[in-house]
Amino acid sequence: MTAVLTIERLTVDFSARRGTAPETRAVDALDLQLQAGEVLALVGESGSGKSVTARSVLGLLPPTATVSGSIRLGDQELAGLDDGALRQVRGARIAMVFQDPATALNPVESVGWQITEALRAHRRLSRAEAREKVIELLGLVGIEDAAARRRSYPHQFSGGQRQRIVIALALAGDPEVLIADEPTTALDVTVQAEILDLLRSLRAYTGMALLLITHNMGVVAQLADRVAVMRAGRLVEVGDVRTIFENPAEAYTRELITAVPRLPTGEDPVPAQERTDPPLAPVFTVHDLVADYPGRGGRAPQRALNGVSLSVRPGEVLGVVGESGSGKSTLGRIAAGLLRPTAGSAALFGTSMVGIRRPHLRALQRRIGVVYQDPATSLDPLRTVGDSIAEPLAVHRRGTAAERAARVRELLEAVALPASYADRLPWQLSGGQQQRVAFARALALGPDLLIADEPTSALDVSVQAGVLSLFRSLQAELGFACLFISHDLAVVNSVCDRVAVMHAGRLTEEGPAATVLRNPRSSYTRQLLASVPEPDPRARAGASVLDRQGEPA
Amino acid sequence: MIRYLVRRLPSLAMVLGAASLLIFGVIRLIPGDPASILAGPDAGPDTIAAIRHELGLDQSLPAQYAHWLGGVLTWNLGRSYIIGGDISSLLGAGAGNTVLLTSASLVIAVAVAVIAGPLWASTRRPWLEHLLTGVNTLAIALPAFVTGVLLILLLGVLLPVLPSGGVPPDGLLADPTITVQYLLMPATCLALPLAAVLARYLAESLRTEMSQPYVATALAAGVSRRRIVTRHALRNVLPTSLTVLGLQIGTLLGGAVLVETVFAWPGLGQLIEQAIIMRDYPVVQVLLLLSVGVFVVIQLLTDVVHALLDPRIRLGGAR
Repeated sequence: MTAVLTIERLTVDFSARRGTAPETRAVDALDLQLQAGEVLALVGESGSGKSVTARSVLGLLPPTATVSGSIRLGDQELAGLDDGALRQVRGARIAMVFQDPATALNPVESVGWQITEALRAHRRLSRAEAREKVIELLGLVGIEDAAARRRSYPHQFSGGQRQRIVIALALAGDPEVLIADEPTTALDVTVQAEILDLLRSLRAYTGMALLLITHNMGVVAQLADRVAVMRAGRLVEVGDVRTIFENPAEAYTRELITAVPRLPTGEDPVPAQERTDPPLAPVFTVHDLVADYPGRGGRAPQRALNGVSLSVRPGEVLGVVGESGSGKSTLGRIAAGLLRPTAGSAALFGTSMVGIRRPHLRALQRRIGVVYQDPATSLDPLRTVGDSIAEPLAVHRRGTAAERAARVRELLEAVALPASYADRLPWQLSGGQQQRVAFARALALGPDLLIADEPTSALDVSVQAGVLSLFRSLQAELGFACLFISHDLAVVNSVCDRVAVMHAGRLTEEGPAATVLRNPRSSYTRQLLASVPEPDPRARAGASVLDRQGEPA
Repeated sequence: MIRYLVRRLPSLAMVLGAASLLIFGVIRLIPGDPASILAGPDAGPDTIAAIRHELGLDQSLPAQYAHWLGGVLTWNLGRSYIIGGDISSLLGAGAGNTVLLTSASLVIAVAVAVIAGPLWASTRRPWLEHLLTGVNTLAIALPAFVTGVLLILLLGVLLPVLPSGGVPPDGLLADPTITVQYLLMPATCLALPLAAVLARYLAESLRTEMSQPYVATALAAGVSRRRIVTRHALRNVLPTSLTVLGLQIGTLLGGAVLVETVFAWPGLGQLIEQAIIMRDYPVVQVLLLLSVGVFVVIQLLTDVVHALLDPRIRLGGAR
């Protein structure tokens, strides 16, 4: 095997401002080789330096970064090249695919124009040649009716199609190496499966090497030949994918793999029968609920929920799962009183929310708590942690200043943070700590219903594991009911009593978590479950290079 | 689009109505009586009262307002008290000059901003950045009567290459090359602050735009940084820049008053300056209402063009 890309003693430092001394080390003396035609997964948690490594290969770091060490493409040294020389490499020999296809394409230019720009960056092409090549590339990544669709704009494509177009754009220069930075993280699970398929077949078709940067161990198991694990800028271990999953040398790798929440399998003990408590009045119930978002600019309103009926019982965790656009977050907004139902009924603690007057709604809202997906944006950056946690108390005029301070200390302790954190600002906390603060704030009023909208989606796997176990213990101790909204079936499996599966604004299936996830009745749930990439390289969809060539020596 | 325009009409009419009321009211608050100015210092109270009656100033305020509004709506603008003559013919004489001056400034300002903004945003040379920042700050800070006088001193007196004021003697349309010579200095003077604000806004928004993920996509595909600024990012910041331009047109209208005075350019700016000093109510009223009307129409136009530039609005579709 020959190495196409060789990284030796790569070190990347960042300074706070251009021209000042470096302060933080993002990558520390990293050695890494990418072999011709292989898929090498670079895994690690946020801040481990995996994305910085990828960007430094193409010289795409901001001017505050200082890079040292060697990055060789074949025999050519890339480290230290100026922008003009790197331009000959970018796209033509090494191309890159980014995380979020919603923003990775220029919103005001047609996709054909954007691919043409990538083509013309390296070759002189006539209009007709460029058109032909664009159609060929779009066809290669599976965009149907490419001749007409090339004139469309990014917003006219679905998320999965957009990621296909981003990949087509990356392939325009016919590169030897493709770097994919979290290529499926922003996608729904069924779309993720399609993009993984596409990457797999493109690799076989073009023979290019793929450097796959991801935090998703399922994606790694499904696609990678070899795995390199990074932590805090250093390489922890590198090896072929089966060794890493079945027999990792380092404790950190083992931690990373065991932290991945899993779906129930036949081997798990069958859970006890559903609780047969006497039926209690539900805390939140909707019947034939319809919810519309008003259309903008004279367009027809968008229907987000269409005839949904379900209820959350006291002390129960109801998981609401579905892909983006399924209406699961809209359901959460209805429950929080942020959106009024268009038709049907919705009741919180037995009080109907249809046509409810504002003071009455506020009284109901006093008994709910809400946790959002991204703690970095749901906490006010200019407020101390203590002020943020005390805000619900202040809004609903509970207690004196001293009582509130005491309650803040109590809540911080409940979410396993030191009381001294009350004086800190959100940016001084890690993502997991911030989300703990968000939970503390949501629990400040001692709610009967907690609405958690993707509370762990923005977190690293190991951090997610910690937050989920905190959630379970808080729920057991405080006994609140919870509407737990998530796209991640494995996460839902680990915390929920019952599961409601949503699809295109309708309820597809509902029942005890173990039953729904083990023996789904609807075909949609089955499809959803089958799309989850299993974190086990033995259970791969389709044959990989390894399987065809046998075990490497 | 037509439906959109029709929907905007009521709010347009309301803004103009409110503006007319405000203008009418504010003018009456200015101390000084046009009748006594017209009558001269030696006139007795009888003469002044007679003039007041003739001008309709002895009627109640609502009656005066109704009379004026009715006149405006039927393009019967009435006669000037003091400057003399029919207001609509006064407007006609100055309008051509002012329209030419402001549109020339607009062209200069946009051209300068579209060249300087991207250059400022994409340069990695510190000296050029400092130079552009300095020039920009000066251009924003210096008032028109200072830059105007400096320009006249430099290009009209010390280095006499351009006429230092006035309009072409044979009229604007007689010889375009002569008209351009007369126009160049006042138009540049009027354009400078607008060009500076616009260039600064463009540079700032381009810098922000350069951290967008689609820019990374294009960079990673090998497209040059310069091309990304001028072809990829610029189209994205144009709609909001256009809104800023529309708002800044107000400064252009205000600046025209100063610039026309400094350069003896006989346009509406000069007319309003004269009219204010002479307490010529009807002229001031009409000119203020006219500038509000121009401003409101320009806002509407920018909104329309804004929508046309963005395919997400133009074509609709998901998200």
